[in-house]
Amino acid sequence: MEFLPLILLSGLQVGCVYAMMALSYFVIINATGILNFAQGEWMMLSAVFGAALITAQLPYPLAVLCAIGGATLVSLLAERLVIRPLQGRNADINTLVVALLGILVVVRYSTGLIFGREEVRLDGPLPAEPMILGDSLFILPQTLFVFGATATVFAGLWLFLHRTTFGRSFRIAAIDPLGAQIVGVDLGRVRFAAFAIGGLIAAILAWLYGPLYAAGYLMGEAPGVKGFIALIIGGLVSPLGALTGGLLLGLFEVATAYYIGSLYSEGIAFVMLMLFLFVRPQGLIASRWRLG
Amino acid sequence: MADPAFLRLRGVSMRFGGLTALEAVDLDVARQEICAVIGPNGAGKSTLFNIVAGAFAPTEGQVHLGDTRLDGMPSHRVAAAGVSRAFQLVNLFGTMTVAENILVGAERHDRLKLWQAVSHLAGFAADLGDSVGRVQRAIDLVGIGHLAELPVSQITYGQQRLVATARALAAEPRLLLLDEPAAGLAGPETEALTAAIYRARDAGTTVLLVEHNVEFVLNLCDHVAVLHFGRKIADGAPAEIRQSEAVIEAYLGR
Amino acid sequence: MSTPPTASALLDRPAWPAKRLAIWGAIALVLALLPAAITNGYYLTLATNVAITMILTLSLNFTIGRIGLFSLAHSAFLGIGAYLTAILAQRHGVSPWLTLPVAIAGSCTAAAIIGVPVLRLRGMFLSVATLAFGLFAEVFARQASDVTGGAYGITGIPPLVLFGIPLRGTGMYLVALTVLLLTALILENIRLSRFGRAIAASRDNEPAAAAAGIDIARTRLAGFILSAGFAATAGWVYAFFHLTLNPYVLSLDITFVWLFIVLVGGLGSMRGTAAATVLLGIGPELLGFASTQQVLISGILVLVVVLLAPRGIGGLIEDMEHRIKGTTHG
Repeated sequence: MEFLPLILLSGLQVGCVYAMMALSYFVIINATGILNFAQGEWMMLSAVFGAALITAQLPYPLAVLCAIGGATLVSLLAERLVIRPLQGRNADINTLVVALLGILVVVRYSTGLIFGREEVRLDGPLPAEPMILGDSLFILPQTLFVFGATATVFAGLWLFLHRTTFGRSFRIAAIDPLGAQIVGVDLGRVRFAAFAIGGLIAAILAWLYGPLYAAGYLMGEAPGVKGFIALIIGGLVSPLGALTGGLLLGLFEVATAYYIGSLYSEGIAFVMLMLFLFVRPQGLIASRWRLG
Repeated sequence: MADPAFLRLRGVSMRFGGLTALEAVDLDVARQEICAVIGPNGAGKSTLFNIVAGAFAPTEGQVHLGDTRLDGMPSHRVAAAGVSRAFQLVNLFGTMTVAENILVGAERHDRLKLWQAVSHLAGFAADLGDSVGRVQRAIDLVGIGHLAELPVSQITYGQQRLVATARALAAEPRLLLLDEPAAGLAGPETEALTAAIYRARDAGTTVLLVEHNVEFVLNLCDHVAVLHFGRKIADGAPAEIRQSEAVIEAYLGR
Repeated sequence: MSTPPTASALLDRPAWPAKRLAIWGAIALVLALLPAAITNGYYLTLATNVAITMILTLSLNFTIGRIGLFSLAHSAFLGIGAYLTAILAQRHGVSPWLTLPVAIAGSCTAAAIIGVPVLRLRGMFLSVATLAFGLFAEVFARQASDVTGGAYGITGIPPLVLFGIPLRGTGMYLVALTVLLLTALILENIRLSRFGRAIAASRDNEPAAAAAGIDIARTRLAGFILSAGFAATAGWVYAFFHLTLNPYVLSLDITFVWLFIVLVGGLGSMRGTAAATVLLGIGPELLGFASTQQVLISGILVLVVVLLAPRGIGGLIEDMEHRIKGTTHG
């Protein structure tokens, strides 16, 4: 049982990554009803772009800011150039999903073409030497950064949704789009903001996740998939759902990998997802979410 | 003792959470009778209708059609039991023509017959059976032969309602449910509809309809039941209903 | 004023009138004779791959475009068919032709089992559930080395043998072509049948379909299982064509390409799907792109189609037909 703290730490760390990804899905799906599979790619862009800028000798903080800004910009471009015209035409939800999958593929593989196929190391904002807690527990500063950043982003979003007027209109827009329009909420503006915030969260996530693993054009696939699984498991109704689902999934994955072997830890997420969808589709933090 | 009625509702109640939509409604409809359920808005007419059609299961009570008990059956089984429905919102199959829409209504869908679907090379015929005959009869009954080859996206609203009625009739149902059949129809279409209902009745169908247009109902029907706030407040021939104080008060004195 | 056409005239038409049979027969003949014209083995391989892909995309088009189920699980059904075939033929020496019914039965059973809970879900939850199943299948293929050979897969699959001759190259091309033509034939027959009308009605308007006596859940499940059977058959042909099998065939990228092909072709249009499959199967190759770029190109195309020509190639063909005939749209 001596490994328990390690499992907890590792599981929570990966769980925070999933929770952040889930949060970025949450913002968009809550405001627009769209499941944007391309979220993982905004994260990838932020990481790859940032790595390129750092290599180009840009000072670290500037590189990070530009990378985050650039990735968020691409998210906004996707909204303007693809989603908005389609929603204007009242395209059905599956068409939108396919369009977003198309964007995912285009972004991922053109990045592969432009920036190359290798994976590069990404430096985190904190020094890299591990610290020692207590007797023998090694912890990376990056891990603390992950925890801290996740908490900050979640808190920030909660404040936005509950304490600002615009944020409140977000919440109405998902539950009752028609009603929201009647009260004067501009759904187009909400959608735009949703893609901005969602893209921003994913872009920030690159600097949590990238330094732990590596940056490359394929890095968006695994977190992208796990992110929406975490959201569905946790529940679509609130950021708490994203957080719960993410942490739970992370812990389960690490625990499964440790106790049963990595043979099954990869598949456990999908099994969990299917179980939840069949038994409790509204997720752990239940919602009045309309099921489709 | 008179023959038991063909369609029998006994003690039908419907509660949605805290809201009572129907309270202990009894209704008897005789064979080949044209019966209407009317009442002011919110009286529970649509709820009653949906219960008979199998869309909802009643909180309490029973629905019998002849020997068959209908309450609690899913809509497709209610249809298989001989009940056909034309909806308030037309609900035609948008990618098909008029004739194809009616064909879907005419076909018996209770057995899947996958093998036939996969294997027949000879054309529709192996699959069609006597459905085409039923389609023709339904088209003639409603009088829409001139529309048969048109895609439903190209016909007017009034024509769509007639097609929906024909589709319901094509199943040669024992009981025909018409949901606000006169709504949105102009003069000649209303006459076509009325004629179709009479012909259907003469051919053996019992008709139950829900309507807002009280005059249309009083002219057309043999039997009228009036609902108000979920309870039946009157039940009888049109002449009685016309003079019923309870009914007049319900409609005017709200 | 002329008398209107009778119901019988409108509806009771042969599904395969002489003209149609002739066209299909001609196409089949031309395709069958193709190996005589193409002597280059590379192009023949390409054609066979396109044929196998088309079996899959036609059945995916049926699932998404006709039944209306946005299913991303097709890779899993193909994978189950292919792996069952490979395992039985290579490891247990089962006679190759006998593996076909087993492959189909395997996928159809899987479809029946997951179909019941999955088909109860709506909209996005349905796609996510099918996606999860597809991803799980890929992980299983990669990780369960004892069963599937893991990341290295299964090699050395014995070829199909007909009258004592092992089928390779031209032989497998003809097998793939035959399966493809049968698939198209069966799907067309279904479309024109009562079952096909029930499927269309269920997709067009659920309350009306139920009121017409159609058991929507059962109809959709039957369609779902049927399309899994086609996917399994595609997997079977794939296994005996390539004679090796690895988890790549179950990857998400390939699922995306199939999905995009169906969209570019136009949801529900068989001709469109066929055209798009040929376009995306042959185009990038002929233009000299690596197969990894096929995904990128299909992504670009799908965006173009979704934004500019939502009814896809099939819609464009229909528009042209209407223009030629001078009729208006249905």
